[in-house]
Amino acid sequence: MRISVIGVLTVFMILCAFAQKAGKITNAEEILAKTVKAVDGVKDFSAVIDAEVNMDRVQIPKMHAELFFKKPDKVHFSSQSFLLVPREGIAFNPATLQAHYLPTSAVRDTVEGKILFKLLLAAKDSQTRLRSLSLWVDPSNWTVTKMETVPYEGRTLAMDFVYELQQEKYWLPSKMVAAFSSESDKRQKEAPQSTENQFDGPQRSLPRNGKVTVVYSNYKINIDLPDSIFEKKKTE
Amino acid sequence: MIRLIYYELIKIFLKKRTYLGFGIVLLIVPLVEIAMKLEGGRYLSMAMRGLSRDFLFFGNIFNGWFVAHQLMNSLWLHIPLLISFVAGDQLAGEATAGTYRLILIKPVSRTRIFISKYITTIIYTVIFVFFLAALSIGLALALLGRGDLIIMNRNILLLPESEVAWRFVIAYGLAALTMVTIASLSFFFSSFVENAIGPIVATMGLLIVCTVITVMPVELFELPRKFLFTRYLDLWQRSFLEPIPWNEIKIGLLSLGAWTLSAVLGAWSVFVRKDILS
Repeated sequence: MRISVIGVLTVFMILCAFAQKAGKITNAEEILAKTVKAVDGVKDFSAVIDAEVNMDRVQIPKMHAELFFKKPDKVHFSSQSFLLVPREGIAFNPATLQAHYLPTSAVRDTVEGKILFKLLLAAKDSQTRLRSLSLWVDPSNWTVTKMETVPYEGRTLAMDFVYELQQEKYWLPSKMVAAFSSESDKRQKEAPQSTENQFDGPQRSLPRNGKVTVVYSNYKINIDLPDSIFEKKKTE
Repeated sequence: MIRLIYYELIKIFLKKRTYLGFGIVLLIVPLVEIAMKLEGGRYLSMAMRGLSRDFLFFGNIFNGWFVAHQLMNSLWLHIPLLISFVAGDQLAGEATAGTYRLILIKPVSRTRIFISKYITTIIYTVIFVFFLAALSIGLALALLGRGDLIIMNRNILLLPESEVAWRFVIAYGLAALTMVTIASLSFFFSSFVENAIGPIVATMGLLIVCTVITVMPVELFELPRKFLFTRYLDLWQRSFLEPIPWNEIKIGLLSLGAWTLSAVLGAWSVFVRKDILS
């Protein structure tokens, strides 16, 4: 009896170990390399972006601009009016991640019924703004569909990407949703607030929760954008 | 009546004290705006520091509209003093100069003289406020250019440039109406005394007391503060909210109107019964 119990437990443990091994992908670097290769042919592009900010205590009308991107990481925006875009993900380039991050692990993860690879990336340089990232890669087209990070203490940033096939060969984002959340903001919301406008001053460092949605359209790929476009002074 | 107002306007604009307010505005507005231009939007950068951790900004938000709005925000408590310099002198100044008797022996009723003086005070107040508007907006736009207007208080609101000009017109219109209430109070105090210093001090004293009651978070003041004119001194700020709270503006205007009417009727009541001894 005792021997059969030990036998069953042993078989169970072996099965668990196999299951764990089956879920874990050892070639995380290879997965990241495939995401890079998927858009390797894109040297530069321009796209029209329409952005909508839906954040606590922020009222900004819908924004419209033209985005210019050139490898490796040159970005420029052309807009007639004010533009506010997330620091991360607006011109997402897996090659930049490959250059600055080391994939530490990769596992299979099911997101909304779809099996994706979840990669954990650690910054190679301690000076890199985002120290670690979680990426979800869709193996059907090797695109990064989701990214999560902690840009600074107490703050969480989650980005979801939707892709469309451009020029019948490049999967580029057609929509990006960046969701910001923080613990201190929740506490602030729960705290009683004054109703008098006259008491209010600017609350300068208060983080805000919410989403920014960016819709990309009218891609023009590999149009040999001159470097001069990116040299214009940006009013950041 | 028009001729009476015309003469009162001549009298008011022949007095040096009338230009004191204009002179101060001419000094302070360029000083602040040039300083803000030289500083290059450091204040705005600091105010936006929280957002800049998560976002990139593009576009000229440190522009003339922003500076003009900031200036308006910082002056709304000081302009009443400059208004009361003139409004407080309207009736008391006649007593000081010993000209009460002279103007009241004319075949014109006291009420007509009173109305002409009051209308002149309103005209001065409106001219003064719109002088401030023209100078602060005009100079700011010339120095820093145009663009969307960013408003920062509890919320961050961005108004497209196409909406900014008419909102400033409404804001300065509301500011002018608020200052008419201050002028009326000063005019009221002016009807009691024979020296213009008294009405100025009384107006500012009332303003300070009412402002303290308005802004102090003391439960005991909850009821009285609802009726104080100082609650609506910043009524103009409502024109920079989205959507504009017209109902709140209407209530504010009614409250200010009630204070104005009370002050004018009070001043008239004192003026027509006054024994002229000077």
